[in-house]
Amino acid sequence: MNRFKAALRTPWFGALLAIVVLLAVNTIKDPGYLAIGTNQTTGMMSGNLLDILRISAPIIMISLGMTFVIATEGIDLSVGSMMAIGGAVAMQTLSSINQPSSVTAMLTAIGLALLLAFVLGTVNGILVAVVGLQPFITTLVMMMAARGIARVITGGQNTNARNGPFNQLATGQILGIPTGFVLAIGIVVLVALLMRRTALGLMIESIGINPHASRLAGIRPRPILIAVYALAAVLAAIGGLFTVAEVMTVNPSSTGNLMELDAILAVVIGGTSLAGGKFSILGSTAGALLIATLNKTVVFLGVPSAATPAFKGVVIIILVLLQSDRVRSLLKRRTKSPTTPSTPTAELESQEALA
Amino acid sequence: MSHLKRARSLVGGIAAGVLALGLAACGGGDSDTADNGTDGATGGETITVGYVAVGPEGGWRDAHEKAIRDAFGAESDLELKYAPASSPTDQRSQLDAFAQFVNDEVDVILLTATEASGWDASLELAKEAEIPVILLDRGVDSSPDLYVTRIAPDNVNVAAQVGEWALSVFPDGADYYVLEGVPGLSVVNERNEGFEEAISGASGWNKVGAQTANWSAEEGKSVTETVLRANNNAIDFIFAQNDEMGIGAALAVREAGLTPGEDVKIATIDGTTGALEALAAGDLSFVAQYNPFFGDLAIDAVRKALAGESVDPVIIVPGDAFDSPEAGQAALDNGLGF
Repeated sequence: MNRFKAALRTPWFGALLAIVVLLAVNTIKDPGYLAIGTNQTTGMMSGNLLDILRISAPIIMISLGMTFVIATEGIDLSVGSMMAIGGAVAMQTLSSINQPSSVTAMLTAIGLALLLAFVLGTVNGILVAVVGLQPFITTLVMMMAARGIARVITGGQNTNARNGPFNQLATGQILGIPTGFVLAIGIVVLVALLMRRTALGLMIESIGINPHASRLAGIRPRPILIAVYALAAVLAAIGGLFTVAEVMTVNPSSTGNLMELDAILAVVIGGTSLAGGKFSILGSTAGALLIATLNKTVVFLGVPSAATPAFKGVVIIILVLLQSDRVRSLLKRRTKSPTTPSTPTAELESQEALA
Repeated sequence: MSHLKRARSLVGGIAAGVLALGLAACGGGDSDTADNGTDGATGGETITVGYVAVGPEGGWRDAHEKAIRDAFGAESDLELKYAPASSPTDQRSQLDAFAQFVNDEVDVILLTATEASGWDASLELAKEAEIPVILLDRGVDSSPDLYVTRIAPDNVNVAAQVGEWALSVFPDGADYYVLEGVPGLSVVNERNEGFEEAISGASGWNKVGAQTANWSAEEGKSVTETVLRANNNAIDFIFAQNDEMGIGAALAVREAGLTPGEDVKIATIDGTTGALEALAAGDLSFVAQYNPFFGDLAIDAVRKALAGESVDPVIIVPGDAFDSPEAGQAALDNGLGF
């Protein structure tokens, strides 16, 4: 019971609850919504749930990277453009190698894409950690510069390529589950182990709370900050790879456009504070899944285009309100006071929260 | 103070350098036709044309401006001075270039405005100097007396072509879905309007829905995938307001185990190389061209304006339409893609 209560309090519980509610609404509209079957023609597993998992892969990647940047009290506005970089390098490489079934070509494309993203992310990190520029300004500039670089790489044109193995990254399945999602979760687990099994996660949080104090405690913030921004860029580029692998074409102007906002939303929904100092990898992943579910729900319910942003906004604001301590304690009092007289400690708690 | 100034000019210098690099990279394919029009002039006076342009913005804009420059470069008595904006949204640099052309007393000014408003003073200046102004593609909200004509393809007309084609392919009507561009843009409304006008009155047309896919292939795919599921694949026709969303939709149709062109027909607008290739491969069924190639119309308008002949206040650029794999291949062979 205590464990259940503890789970109830975690911020990502709200995200999971919201996903369940959205899925329930879809099921009411069409009772067959949750069904998963085999497509007779293609022989692949198919279903709405699998679609959601597939399109969530890029969002999971960018929000994972954003999580650590935000935990250091920074922000990375360049992740959307990094997706364009990843996609542009991969498509350009694949189209110039032009070997539709070569795994080597795929690995070369991925390697080059991640390398360039790593370099640009390191630039972000150096500007923030060594030069001391504001993360907001630094990554805003990088957002514009990286999109420009993506345009230069592709010559400003939409670039498409053919490569079976690369395409499978997004459209393939492993035991019926979309490959992209499996890979994304694999990366999340790896990064989570790196953060939580070593002291790295703790150091990132301490920098977010107070960089000077953590310096005095013997933590060197510079290399850690640089690593965090480089990681965010590389993960965003992986997200870009998943995105372009879907359609095997990159549009340097629209690929990843405004995705930085989705990433920030996913992170905040997942309970990572914008003030820095703590992060939740599980929360960000749940937040990313929620955004993917929301995107699909809007289409499934047939919400008009013009109302789509408002619909998304309402869902997210409700969720964030439910997570706020103040609203929670208000709700608690409302529901409790008529039935049981509140105990002194509970009253104290709610007063504290209100104060 | 002085070091602040120096820092500022340094930043400005870097910005200009980066821009120049960007322009050089984007415009690398263009031959430098802008400045050598005088060499071939044989007798008579050279007509100088100032071209206040947008500059590298994307596939369509690049193809359009190259077409204009090539067309004027091919005429021996015309000299085109090309002045792109320093960025596709920088009206200031366009106003400056415009004023410069008026000062230089060019014979005609071609203008593609980055923004519709704010041109009154400049246009009046040109009128005082008796320099005719011809608008290409984008309009301005100044009085029509201030310019000779606006030459542009018309979104309503192009979308109507899609509607007319759809009527001929589905004489008994169809269940259709519309993939829209970014909500709120005039292009989106005009393309909806043209299509809906064309099919209005015909019976059996059932609009299953419409959703934005933000002009992008991956969103076009994602939306189509869910729409097919929500309607048990009962969609006959998809109208994608641009090529990329249509290409994405074709992938979703294929992954749903259906055949594009047979189970679901997809029509798109624009006519990019990618769409013509998809048409040639049978993934798309119809591509209506939003025609960027109207250098000849511009030259015609320039000559008429200088000769004092009357010119229509609005000239609509006719666009091609491609409705079969063969037509798609032929268009590719003729270099119509962009």
